[in-house]
Amino acid sequence: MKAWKILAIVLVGYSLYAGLMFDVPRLVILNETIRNLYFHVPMWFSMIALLGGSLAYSFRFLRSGTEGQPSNLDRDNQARSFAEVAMVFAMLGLFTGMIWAKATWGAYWTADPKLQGTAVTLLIYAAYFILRTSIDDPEKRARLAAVYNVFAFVLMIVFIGILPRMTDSLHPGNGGNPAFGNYDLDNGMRMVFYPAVLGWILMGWWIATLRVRLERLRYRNNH
Amino acid sequence: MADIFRSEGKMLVVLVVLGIVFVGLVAYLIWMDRRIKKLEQKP
Repeated sequence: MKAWKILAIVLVGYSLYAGLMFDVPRLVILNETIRNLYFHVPMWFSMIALLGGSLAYSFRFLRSGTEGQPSNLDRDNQARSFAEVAMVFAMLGLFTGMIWAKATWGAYWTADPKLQGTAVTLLIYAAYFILRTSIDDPEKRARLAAVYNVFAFVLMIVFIGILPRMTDSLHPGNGGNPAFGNYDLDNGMRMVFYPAVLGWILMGWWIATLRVRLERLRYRNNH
Repeated sequence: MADIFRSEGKMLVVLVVLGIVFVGLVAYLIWMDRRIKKLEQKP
Protein backbone atom coordinates (compact mmCIF):
# COMPACT_ATOMS: atom_id res chain seq x y z
CA MET A 1 0.00 0.00 0.00
CA LYS A 2 1.24 3.48 -0.85
CA ALA A 3 2.62 5.60 2.00
CA TRP A 4 0.12 8.42 1.56
CA LYS A 5 -2.77 6.02 2.08
CA ILE A 6 -1.25 4.83 5.33
CA LEU A 7 -0.75 8.49 6.29
CA ALA A 8 -4.44 9.13 5.62
CA ILE A 9 -5.47 6.30 7.94
CA VAL A 10 -3.03 7.36 10.66
CA LEU A 11 -4.04 11.04 10.55
CA VAL A 12 -7.78 10.44 10.56
CA GLY A 13 -7.42 7.76 13.23
CA TYR A 14 -5.38 10.15 15.36
CA SER A 15 -7.93 12.93 14.88
CA LEU A 16 -10.77 10.65 16.00
CA TYR A 17 -8.93 9.80 19.19
CA ALA A 18 -7.49 13.25 19.89
CA GLY A 19 -10.70 14.96 18.82
CA LEU A 20 -12.65 13.21 21.55
CA MET A 21 -10.05 12.89 24.28
CA PHE A 22 -7.91 16.04 24.18
CA ASP A 23 -8.79 19.24 26.03
CA VAL A 24 -10.73 21.93 24.24
CA PRO A 25 -11.38 25.57 25.19
CA ARG A 26 -14.49 26.09 27.29
CA LEU A 27 -16.75 28.42 25.36
CA VAL A 28 -20.36 29.38 25.99
CA ILE A 29 -23.08 27.94 23.73
CA LEU A 30 -20.52 25.80 21.87
CA ASN A 31 -19.58 23.69 24.90
CA GLU A 32 -18.42 20.25 23.76
CA THR A 33 -19.70 20.81 20.24
CA ILE A 34 -16.50 22.73 19.53
CA ARG A 35 -15.07 19.27 18.83
CA ASN A 36 -17.17 19.22 15.67
CA LEU A 37 -14.51 21.49 14.20
CA TYR A 38 -12.34 18.37 13.78
CA PHE A 39 -15.01 16.46 11.90
CA HIS A 40 -17.31 18.95 10.16
CA VAL A 41 -14.77 21.41 8.73
CA PRO A 42 -12.44 18.78 7.16
CA MET A 43 -15.39 17.61 5.04
CA TRP A 44 -15.46 21.00 3.34
CA PHE A 45 -11.69 21.20 2.99
CA SER A 46 -11.79 17.77 1.36
CA MET A 47 -14.57 18.87 -0.97
CA ILE A 48 -12.57 21.92 -2.06
CA ALA A 49 -9.40 19.87 -2.55
CA LEU A 50 -11.24 17.27 -4.64
CA LEU A 51 -12.98 19.93 -6.71
CA GLY A 52 -9.58 21.52 -7.24
CA GLY A 53 -8.30 18.15 -8.47
CA SER A 54 -11.33 17.84 -10.71
CA LEU A 55 -10.65 21.31 -12.13
CA ALA A 56 -7.01 20.42 -12.82
CA TYR A 57 -8.06 17.27 -14.69
CA SER A 58 -10.57 19.30 -16.71
CA PHE A 59 -7.78 21.69 -17.74
CA ARG A 60 -5.57 18.77 -18.63
CA PHE A 61 -8.36 17.24 -20.70
CA LEU A 62 -8.85 20.48 -22.62
CA ARG A 63 -5.12 20.76 -23.26
CA SER A 64 -4.82 17.11 -24.35
CA GLY A 65 -6.84 17.74 -27.51
CA THR A 66 -4.59 20.45 -28.90
CA GLU A 67 -1.71 20.32 -31.42
CA GLY A 68 -3.16 17.51 -33.46
CA GLN A 69 -3.16 15.09 -30.51
CA PRO A 70 -6.25 13.01 -29.76
CA SER A 71 -7.98 14.24 -26.60
CA ASN A 72 -7.50 12.07 -23.56
CA LEU A 73 -10.88 10.85 -22.32
CA ASP A 74 -9.28 9.39 -19.21
CA ARG A 75 -8.72 12.96 -17.99
CA ASP A 76 -12.47 13.43 -18.28
CA ASN A 77 -13.02 10.27 -16.26
CA GLN A 78 -10.73 11.67 -13.57
CA ALA A 79 -12.45 15.06 -13.54
CA ARG A 80 -15.87 13.45 -13.18
CA SER A 81 -14.85 10.94 -10.52
CA PHE A 82 -13.21 13.61 -8.39
CA ALA A 83 -16.27 15.87 -8.64
CA GLU A 84 -18.45 12.92 -7.68
CA VAL A 85 -16.53 12.11 -4.50
CA ALA A 86 -16.36 15.85 -3.72
CA MET A 87 -20.16 15.92 -3.70
CA VAL A 88 -20.25 13.04 -1.21
CA PHE A 89 -18.03 15.09 1.08
CA ALA A 90 -20.24 18.15 0.49
CA MET A 91 -23.27 16.16 1.64
CA LEU A 92 -21.41 14.98 4.74
CA GLY A 93 -20.36 18.58 5.42
CA LEU A 94 -23.90 19.81 4.95
CA PHE A 95 -25.56 17.26 7.21
CA THR A 96 -22.95 17.53 9.97
CA GLY A 97 -23.29 21.31 9.74
CA MET A 98 -27.06 21.11 10.09
CA ILE A 99 -26.77 19.04 13.26
CA TRP A 100 -24.26 21.51 14.67
CA ALA A 101 -26.42 24.48 13.68
CA LYS A 102 -29.44 22.97 15.45
CA ALA A 103 -27.43 22.67 18.65
CA THR A 104 -25.88 26.13 18.59
CA TRP A 105 -28.10 28.38 16.46
CA GLY A 106 -31.39 26.65 17.21
CA ALA A 107 -32.30 25.68 13.65
CA TYR A 108 -31.15 23.13 11.11
CA TRP A 109 -31.20 25.70 8.37
CA THR A 110 -31.13 29.48 8.36
CA ALA A 111 -31.12 31.96 5.51
CA ASP A 112 -27.46 32.57 6.22
CA PRO A 113 -25.27 33.58 3.26
CA LYS A 114 -22.83 30.74 3.97
CA LEU A 115 -25.58 28.14 3.98
CA GLN A 116 -27.41 29.53 0.98
CA GLY A 117 -24.12 29.80 -0.88
CA THR A 118 -23.42 26.16 -0.17
CA ALA A 119 -26.85 25.16 -1.41
CA VAL A 120 -26.26 27.09 -4.63
CA THR A 121 -22.87 25.40 -5.04
CA LEU A 122 -24.46 21.98 -4.73
CA LEU A 123 -27.01 22.90 -7.39
CA ILE A 124 -24.25 24.16 -9.69
CA TYR A 125 -22.46 20.82 -9.44
CA ALA A 126 -25.73 18.92 -9.78
CA ALA A 127 -26.06 20.73 -13.10
CA TYR A 128 -22.57 19.49 -14.02
CA PHE A 129 -23.72 15.87 -13.73
CA ILE A 130 -27.01 16.56 -15.50
CA LEU A 131 -25.13 18.26 -18.32
CA ARG A 132 -22.99 15.15 -18.66
CA THR A 133 -25.90 12.77 -18.93
CA SER A 134 -27.58 14.93 -21.58
CA ILE A 135 -24.82 14.51 -24.17
CA ASP A 136 -24.26 11.16 -25.89
CA ASP A 137 -21.03 11.79 -27.78
CA PRO A 138 -18.22 11.12 -25.26
CA GLU A 139 -15.84 13.59 -26.88
CA LYS A 140 -18.33 16.44 -26.94
CA ARG A 141 -19.58 15.57 -23.47
CA ALA A 142 -16.07 15.68 -22.06
CA ARG A 143 -15.29 19.00 -23.71
CA LEU A 144 -18.48 20.77 -22.60
CA ALA A 145 -18.27 19.29 -19.11
CA ALA A 146 -14.66 20.44 -18.75
CA VAL A 147 -15.52 24.00 -19.72
CA TYR A 148 -18.53 23.99 -17.39
CA ASN A 149 -16.35 22.61 -14.58
CA VAL A 150 -14.09 25.67 -14.78
CA PHE A 151 -17.14 27.89 -14.49
CA ALA A 152 -18.54 25.80 -11.60
CA PHE A 153 -15.31 25.96 -9.62
CA VAL A 154 -15.11 29.74 -9.88
CA LEU A 155 -18.73 30.06 -8.73
CA MET A 156 -18.06 27.68 -5.85
CA ILE A 157 -15.24 29.96 -4.62
CA VAL A 158 -17.46 33.02 -5.01
CA PHE A 159 -20.44 31.47 -3.23
CA ILE A 160 -18.74 29.80 -0.30
CA GLY A 161 -15.48 31.71 -0.06
CA ILE A 162 -16.16 35.31 -0.99
CA LEU A 163 -19.82 36.35 -0.71
CA PRO A 164 -20.36 35.08 2.87
CA ARG A 165 -17.35 37.11 3.96
CA MET A 166 -18.77 40.31 2.51
CA THR A 167 -22.05 40.30 4.41
CA ASP A 168 -23.32 39.44 7.84
CA SER A 169 -23.14 35.75 8.63
CA LEU A 170 -23.63 33.54 11.64
CA HIS A 171 -21.11 31.06 10.34
CA PRO A 172 -17.63 31.32 11.90
CA GLY A 173 -15.05 32.87 9.61
CA ASN A 174 -17.63 35.02 7.86
CA GLY A 175 -19.19 38.43 8.31
CA GLY A 176 -16.69 39.44 10.97
CA ASN A 177 -17.18 36.22 12.92
CA PRO A 178 -13.85 34.72 13.95
CA ALA A 179 -12.94 31.15 12.99
CA PHE A 180 -9.23 30.53 12.82
CA GLY A 181 -8.42 33.65 14.81
CA ASN A 182 -5.70 33.47 17.44
CA TYR A 183 -8.07 33.45 20.38
CA ASP A 184 -10.61 30.81 19.51
CA LEU A 185 -8.52 28.15 17.83
CA ASP A 186 -5.84 27.58 20.45
CA ASN A 187 -2.64 25.70 19.80
CA GLY A 188 -3.97 22.48 21.27
CA MET A 189 -6.80 22.49 18.76
CA ARG A 190 -4.49 23.22 15.86
CA MET A 191 -2.58 20.02 16.66
CA VAL A 192 -5.74 18.06 16.02
CA PHE A 193 -7.44 20.21 13.39
CA TYR A 194 -4.65 20.37 10.80
CA PRO A 195 -3.88 16.63 10.86
CA ALA A 196 -7.62 15.98 10.56
CA VAL A 197 -7.88 18.23 7.49
CA LEU A 198 -4.87 16.65 5.79
CA GLY A 199 -6.01 13.14 6.71
CA TRP A 200 -9.51 13.61 5.33
CA ILE A 201 -8.23 15.22 2.13
CA LEU A 202 -5.98 12.20 1.54
CA MET A 203 -8.87 9.87 2.40
CA GLY A 204 -11.09 11.60 -0.16
CA TRP A 205 -8.30 11.49 -2.71
CA TRP A 206 -7.97 7.76 -2.14
CA ILE A 207 -11.69 7.13 -2.65
CA ALA A 208 -11.64 9.28 -5.80
CA THR A 209 -8.73 7.35 -7.30
CA LEU A 210 -10.58 4.09 -6.61
CA ARG A 211 -13.55 5.53 -8.49
CA VAL A 212 -11.25 6.50 -11.37
CA ARG A 213 -9.69 3.05 -11.56
CA LEU A 214 -13.05 1.33 -11.47
CA GLU A 215 -14.24 3.46 -14.37
CA ARG A 216 -11.08 2.60 -16.34
CA LEU A 217 -11.79 -1.09 -15.84
CA ARG A 218 -15.36 -0.61 -16.98
CA TYR A 219 -14.14 1.27 -20.07
CA ARG A 220 -11.59 -1.44 -20.83
CA ASN A 221 -14.29 -4.08 -20.52
CA ASN A 222 -16.56 -2.33 -22.98
CA HIS A 223 -13.93 -1.71 -25.67
CA MET B 1 -18.17 20.35 29.90
CA ALA B 2 -14.92 18.75 28.82
CA ASP B 3 -14.10 17.48 32.30
CA ILE B 4 -17.57 16.23 33.14
CA PHE B 5 -17.77 14.57 29.76
CA ARG B 6 -14.90 12.28 30.65
CA SER B 7 -15.16 12.09 34.42
CA GLU B 8 -18.58 10.48 34.14
CA GLY B 9 -16.73 7.68 32.46
CA LYS B 10 -17.88 5.61 29.50
CA MET B 11 -16.27 8.10 27.13
CA LEU B 12 -14.10 5.18 26.09
CA VAL B 13 -17.20 3.36 24.91
CA VAL B 14 -17.84 6.13 22.39
CA LEU B 15 -14.23 6.00 21.31
CA VAL B 16 -14.39 2.24 20.79
CA VAL B 17 -17.63 2.51 18.81
CA LEU B 18 -16.12 5.19 16.58
CA GLY B 19 -12.98 3.08 16.31
CA ILE B 20 -14.94 0.07 15.07
CA VAL B 21 -16.70 2.18 12.45
CA PHE B 22 -13.42 3.69 11.34
CA VAL B 23 -11.53 0.40 11.20
CA GLY B 24 -14.41 -1.20 9.32
CA LEU B 25 -14.52 1.53 6.70
CA VAL B 26 -10.76 1.56 6.26
CA ALA B 27 -10.67 -2.23 5.94
CA TYR B 28 -13.34 -2.01 3.24
CA LEU B 29 -11.34 0.68 1.40
CA ILE B 30 -8.20 -1.46 1.49
CA TRP B 31 -10.15 -4.52 0.34
CA MET B 32 -11.61 -2.58 -2.57
CA ASP B 33 -8.19 -1.17 -3.46
CA ARG B 34 -6.73 -4.69 -3.61
CA ARG B 35 -9.59 -6.07 -5.68
CA ILE B 36 -9.28 -3.26 -8.21
CA LYS B 37 -5.53 -3.82 -8.34
CA LYS B 38 -6.09 -7.51 -9.09
CA LEU B 39 -8.53 -6.65 -11.88
CA GLU B 40 -6.06 -4.14 -13.32
CA GLN B 41 -3.34 -6.75 -13.44
CA LYS B 42 -5.50 -9.14 -15.44
CA PRO B 43 -4.55 -8.83 -19.12
